[in-house]
Amino acid sequence: MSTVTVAERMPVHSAKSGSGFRLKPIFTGLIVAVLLIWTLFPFYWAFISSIKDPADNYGNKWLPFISFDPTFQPWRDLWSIREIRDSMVNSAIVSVGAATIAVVLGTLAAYGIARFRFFRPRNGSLTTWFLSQRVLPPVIFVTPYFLIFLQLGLLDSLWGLILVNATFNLAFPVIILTQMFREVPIELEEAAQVDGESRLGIFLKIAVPLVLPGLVVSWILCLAFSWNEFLFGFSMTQTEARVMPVYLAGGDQTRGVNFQAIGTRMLLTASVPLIAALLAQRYIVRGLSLGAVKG
Amino acid sequence: MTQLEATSAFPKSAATVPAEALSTNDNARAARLTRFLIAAALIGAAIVALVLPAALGPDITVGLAELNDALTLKGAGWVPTMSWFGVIAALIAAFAFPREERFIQAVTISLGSLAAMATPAYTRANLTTLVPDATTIGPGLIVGWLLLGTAALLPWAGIFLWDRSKSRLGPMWWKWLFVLPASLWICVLTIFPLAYALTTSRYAYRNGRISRSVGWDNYRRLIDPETVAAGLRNAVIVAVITSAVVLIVGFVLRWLSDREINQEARREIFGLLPVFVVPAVIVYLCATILKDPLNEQMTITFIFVAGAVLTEMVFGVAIALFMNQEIRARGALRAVMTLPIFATPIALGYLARAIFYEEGGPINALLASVGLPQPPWLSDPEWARVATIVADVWQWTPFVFIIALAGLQSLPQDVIEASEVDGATGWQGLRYITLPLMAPILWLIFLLRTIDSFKVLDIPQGLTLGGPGRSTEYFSLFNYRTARKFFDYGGAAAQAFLLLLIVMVLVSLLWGRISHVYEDDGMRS
Repeated sequence: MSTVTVAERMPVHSAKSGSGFRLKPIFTGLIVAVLLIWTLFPFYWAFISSIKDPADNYGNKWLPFISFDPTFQPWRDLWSIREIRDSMVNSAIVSVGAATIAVVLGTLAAYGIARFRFFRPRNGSLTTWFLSQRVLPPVIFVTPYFLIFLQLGLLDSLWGLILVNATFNLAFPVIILTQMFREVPIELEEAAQVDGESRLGIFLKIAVPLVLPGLVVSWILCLAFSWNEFLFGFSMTQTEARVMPVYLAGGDQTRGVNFQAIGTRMLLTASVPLIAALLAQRYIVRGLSLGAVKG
Repeated sequence: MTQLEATSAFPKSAATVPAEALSTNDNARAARLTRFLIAAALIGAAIVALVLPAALGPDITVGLAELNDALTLKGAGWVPTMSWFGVIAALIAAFAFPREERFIQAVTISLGSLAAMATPAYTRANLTTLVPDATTIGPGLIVGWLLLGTAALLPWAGIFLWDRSKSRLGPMWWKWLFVLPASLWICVLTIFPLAYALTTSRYAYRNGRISRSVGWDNYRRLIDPETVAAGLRNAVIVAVITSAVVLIVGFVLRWLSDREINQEARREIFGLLPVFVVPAVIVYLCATILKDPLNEQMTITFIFVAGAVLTEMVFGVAIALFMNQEIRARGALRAVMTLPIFATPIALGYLARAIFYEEGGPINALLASVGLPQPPWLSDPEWARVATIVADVWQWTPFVFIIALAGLQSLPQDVIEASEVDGATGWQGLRYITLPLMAPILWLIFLLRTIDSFKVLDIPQGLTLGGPGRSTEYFSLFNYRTARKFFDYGGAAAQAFLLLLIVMVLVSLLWGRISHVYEDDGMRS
């Protein structure tokens, strides 16, 4: 952030354009405004749809209090709907469970790849092996998972969804944490080894605390993506383990034109990953870009 | 890269031990012997199981093929799958690992062999339901079971009895304990399901129940035999035309921008040929030789992928270039603009339906108030496709943008400043400095976006339910419905492998361009 403040103190570009009317800042401001409107409009529309009386759906009614009378009753009613309560709880269990498993497995693997030399498969191939998770189209797994889980009695169970989501999110912690472990100075671990600390002790007491921020953030990322996962939730749950995205897709409320219900449920569902995204800002680029770019 | 660097944590134990302790002649011969014995046991088990009867009754003998069918028809197709999957994994492990990695080698061989023992064990436990007339499992399974057990024990016997070395399990063998849990997890939940999908794709299903083995028919069913000959012939023409277009456009553009075409430019343009020609041929073949309706769904998928990815790339990179200058509160702006990526896609689909709603939706209301025509977003096939593309662009342009921005910011600043000092204009700086340096990252974004847009399912499901008709039923949704709505699991698995093939081709085409943004060996040099 320091570069921004320095640049603000020395406005190079505006100095060049000379005195008088400055076009560039206005132009920049205009583009920023367009970008913000484009990004935020759907959220805004979801919100005002949620507080609109269905009768106000038609016509140009864009501003609460001015063009229509808002009602917050739909939000008050939301929590009293048992299906929503259950689905939110299910979603929370699945995403927390999947994120935790993915991060535990991923941290171990990342430490191994970052710290030790593997002869064959080499470290690079090991990384690729974990990255391949990101490339496989999940729809391929719908049939085999369905048939295997049918046999194992894992259909329509939270355990099944936890397993699946942990699998498809495993790449994120591996990528993020491999890079973070590489940045941890090795001298600390060597010193601990001299002091007679065990391998596991070094890992748990020295290495893991130093990458804790990355660990937390990859957990948050996994949580967000598990929460948003729809395909497997849709194909493998019915009632017992229905997660929020599946409730959204199956609910009569969101069929047809009940925009009020769409608004409340959309915002309720997306609120968790959106908050998670804001918390995980710093590491999103690394996680999403297969770690190829730092950001 | 033969030398160990400081990065391998505890150099004392790693660097010195393997060289002297493992390379004596005696040990090499012992290792070969172990490998040979393991391979003999595994292959022997497979042959015995194939040749000798798998189950015996008073007056019947059941072969392995029949047993395999019986198992699969009972819904236990994962059992034989596990067996051949395990044997292959163990065989690969026996030969792929060097002696330094003998620990993981032994573990893999043992686990593979144990997994392969599933068929005899499961058959023995469920014999009466599988083959009602049989009284006992046959010599094929018994001997196979014994041989597999031997194969599971052999590597450990080798390590502890005749192939001993100073570091018994290999230098730093415990490093594998870190990687093993995640690797096993992936084997069990990704690689094995893929193998099982292969089994699944060879059976016909009726009402969600497996009905009979059909060999490779599910794959043949993907293709329309009458169009194959003409399709392949025309594919050659497509390839030639695409090559010509790429070459002409490439050279003309190059000439217009540089006024010269040197060796490097020539190599670059010829290097781009496969990136355009192979996808063009794939698209053409998918649109022609695949059977109806798969060819239609493939075509609209390609339209969607091309439309969405190109739009996202152009806007994303443009926004990144724009944001790369000094803007107040850039961090906050970037944070806000990342939000769409995390908006639950299925919820976004439903919300997009409200926004694109034809009567009184905000877009059409706005268009009406300025007197513009109101497109039938949801009821016209073409416009519905546009609507899905717009929703996808809204969600994923930020992805392109944040990664491109991070890439721009990680460029070496001195190079860019030097070019400015030398008097490069904004366009020249972009053309000769920024874009060439950014190329690997841009290819990476392109690859990730392309692969991910083939996965799109939530947005059409929420926005249009694949309609009107099937005009937005993109491949993933189509494939999902083949499996879970029409219960054609076999056909769905075969279709899915087609998609996997396309994705693999794309990855291998572009991997060379992006791999050097990784430290490929996993170590910094």
